[in-house]
Formats: sequence, C-alpha cells, structure tokens
Amino acid sequence: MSKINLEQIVSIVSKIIKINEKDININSKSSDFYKWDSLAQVNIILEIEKITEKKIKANKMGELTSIKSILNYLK
Amino acid sequence: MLFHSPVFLFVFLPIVLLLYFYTSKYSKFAYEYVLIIGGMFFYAWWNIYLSPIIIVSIISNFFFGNLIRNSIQKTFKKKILIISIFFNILFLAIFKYSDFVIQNINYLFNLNIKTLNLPFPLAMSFFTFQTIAYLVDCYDGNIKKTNLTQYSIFIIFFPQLIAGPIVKYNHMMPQFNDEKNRLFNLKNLNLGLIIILIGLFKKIFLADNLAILADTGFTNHQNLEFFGSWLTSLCFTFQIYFDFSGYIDMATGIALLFNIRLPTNFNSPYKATSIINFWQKWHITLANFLTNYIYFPWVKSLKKVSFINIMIIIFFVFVIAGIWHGPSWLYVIFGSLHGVGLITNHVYRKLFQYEMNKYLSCFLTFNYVNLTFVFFRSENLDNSTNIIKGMLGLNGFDFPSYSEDKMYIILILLISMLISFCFKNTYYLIEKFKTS
Repeated sequence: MSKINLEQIVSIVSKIIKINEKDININSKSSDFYKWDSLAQVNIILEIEKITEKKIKANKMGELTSIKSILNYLK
Repeated sequence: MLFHSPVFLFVFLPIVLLLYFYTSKYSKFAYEYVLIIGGMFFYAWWNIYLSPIIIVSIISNFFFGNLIRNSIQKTFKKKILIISIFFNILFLAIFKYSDFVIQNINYLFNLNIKTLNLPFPLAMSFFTFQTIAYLVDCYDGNIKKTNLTQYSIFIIFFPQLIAGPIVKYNHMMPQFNDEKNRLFNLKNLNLGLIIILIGLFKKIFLADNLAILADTGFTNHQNLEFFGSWLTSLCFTFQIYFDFSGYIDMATGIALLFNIRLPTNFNSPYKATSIINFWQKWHITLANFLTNYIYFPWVKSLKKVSFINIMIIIFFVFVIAGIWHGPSWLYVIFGSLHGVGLITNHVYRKLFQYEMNKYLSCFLTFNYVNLTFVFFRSENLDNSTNIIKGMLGLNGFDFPSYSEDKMYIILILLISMLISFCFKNTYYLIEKFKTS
C-alpha cells in the first residue's frame, strides 16, 4: 500500500470539487463546500483508493467526510 | 399517544421523567427499565394488540445482531446479515405493502384477489431502517458490546420511536450509559421545554391551520384556478414542513429532558439552493441512511464506476425513498422527481462552472420541491394534475372564494414563509445554548 500525505489528499479533494488548494486545509470538511456532495465523495474515495492501492469499505465512505478523518483513516 | 396530546404532556411525560431521575439515584440499572416500560406503554397506547410486533422485532433482531457479531466465519456472517435484512424488509412489506402489491396484481392481470387489510403498526418504517443500520453496524464490527436491555432502549426510546429521527446505536448508547446523563440537569430541562414549545407552536399554530386550506384545496381540486392552486400547494408544503419539523423539535426537546441529544433532522430545508442541498437539510437522518446503507454500498459493488452508473443508482435510491413513505404510486412519483432533480443538479455541476445566483437557485429549488409535494399530498393522479394545471394557469385566473373564517390562514402562510426563509432554526438555538 502506498502512503498518502496531507498535501496529496488536499490535492485530490481540490481537483474533484474544483476548489483552489489554498482554500482547503486539515480542518476542512464536506459541509464547508457545497460541491463536496455524495457524488464528489465517491470520486474522492475512488481516487484515494487508486493512489494508495487500498480498498476502502463502503461503510467507511460516509465517515471519511473531512480531510482529518481521511488522513487518520489512512495512517 | 401524540406528543401534543394533554395526556402525554401532563401525565405520561412527567411520570416517566420523575421515575427516570428518581430511580437513577438508587439503582444503576433501574432507569433502563423505566425507559423500556415507558416506551412499551407509549407504543401500546395506540393499539395494544399490535404491540407484540415491536417486541418480536426487538427480540429477533437482537438475536440476529448477536449471531452476526459473534460469527468468526465471514461468509456465514454475511449470510446472516442478508437473511436478517431480508427478514426486516419482508416484515415491513407484509404490513405496509401487501395490499398495494395485491391491488397492482389485480389491475395488471384483471384478477380479484382479496386485499388483506392488515393494520399498519405504528413507527414500523422508522424502526425497520434503524434496525437495518444496527445490523450492518454489527456486521462491520462497529458495535462491540450490547445486551437485550440496551438494544431495547435503542429501539423503544419513546421520543424518537414514532417518527424519527433515525438514530444510530453508537450515537445513542454512549449517552444512555453516561452516568452524568442520569442526573437532573436544569439547563437541559429549560432548553428542552423551550424546544418543545417551539415544536408545539409549529405543529398546532402553523401546521394544523395550514392543513385546513391545504385539505380544502386538495378535496376540491376540480374547481381550483391559478391562485387557489398555488395557495393549496404552498399551504401543504409549509404544513408538512412544520408538522414534521415541529414533531422532531418536540422529540428533540423531550429527549433533552432526559439529557439525550438526538441528531439534527431538519436544517432550514427551504433555504436550500439545490435539490442536492435540500436533501442535506430535509429529513437528514433518512438521507444519511439512504446514502450510507444503500447508495455507497451500491456504488462500491459496481465493477466499473461511471457518472451514468452513479446517476442511475441515485435515481433508484430516491425511488426507494419515495416508496418508503407509503404504499402508493404517487410516492414513487415523488421519489422519482427528487431523483431527477438530483441528477439534473449533478449534470449541471459537471457541465457548468457557473454558479447560479443564490436567491434564484433557492427560488427554483423551493418551487421544484413545492411541485413534488403536490404528488406527495394528492389522493390520486387526477388530483395532482388538476392542481398542477391550476398552478400553470390552465384553469383560469380567478381569485378563490374562501369563507371569511379561513382568510386568517393566508396570514399564517405568510408567517410560515417568513420563518422558513428568514429565521434561524431550532438547531441554531441548541448550538447557541450548548447543553452541558
């Protein structure tokens, strides 16, 4: 499994929800951005799976809705 | 027993509340029995003969949950999960949808099978979803320890038993098990009572009055012209919001008297700027259930995830949401229209970077929701089409002739609009006066 760091997570989220990376930080969560909806959530998880080569279970998808929770989960 | 009935407010609630705090002083576990017996009494008050159904559901699902949690073999665990979910859906389907299925079979094949006319057990749709969430959480290893008493409290805790919010085991049980929450808390009592009063105001003053005009309109739909149709649909759209959110406020306030915080279920939904946003604000716990227990697992089960696949799943998830509300094709239309609305939003976000003006998008979203509620409230498709025709001006533009005693409802409608669009909601109040 490849490791992923904060910058990479921010970059993935930024690319998917089309928000400048500068506007996203470790405390950002889905409710802060109207474009971080359930479809964006699926795309974020799929992208993370691709980079880390780690399968994320469906039941975790609803919990990983903030930068911090994603980072903690992948630690 | 309804929350706004005198017997609940002035007899049942004070007795259970007193017993809850009084017995907690002397015994570590007595509060559990107070809540279970109180919940059973509350449930049986509606129809004592149907109360065994919830007992059967509690005992069998506790057994299923234990079997799932204690199984070491993964395939066996999965089999039990599937069987238990199937059992719960079948249980719900028999009581709620059997006549609907029979009527449709009769219509399609020109048969004359007799309907079963089974009574529908109160709260079954809610506790079925709550139970499924519990079973999946057992499967995922999120619930480590439980017993029949604790599981019973989770299902039968009366403030959220009848109409939600749909709660999760791990949200509720740590609160019940926190000894601090069994001590009388004046701050929570005050805040709880304020929230109950807000709920009562929404239900009795706003919703019940709006219902008068909405019911009149939906009954006399053939005679409705432009203004009458709009008044009817708007009255219902605000009636259902204040009815449901008023009920949820009362549930939240009552739970707070027991020092229990229920999750947010409504967050000013009519201020939503898209249908996606609407479902982030309307019946939030149902939307979360649909997202976490149907949508995400369904998407993850796909071999190839594509935008089109996801849109199809979204549509069917909302068809399920529609039929969950009741056994009628009109609920299916309601759900389908929301599915279409969500797809439209997603396609728009994918194709256009341009962000629509906030007020315009709020206006469009509200009107779309208002249109979908016409199907939700109608008795049949004729009823819906007549009202929509009226709203489009196809039945003329005369003013409706309401009797004088109903004119005050128009003022109540304006107050409802003002509250919905301009005021902060109950959860803002809760956050502001954070409970200890």
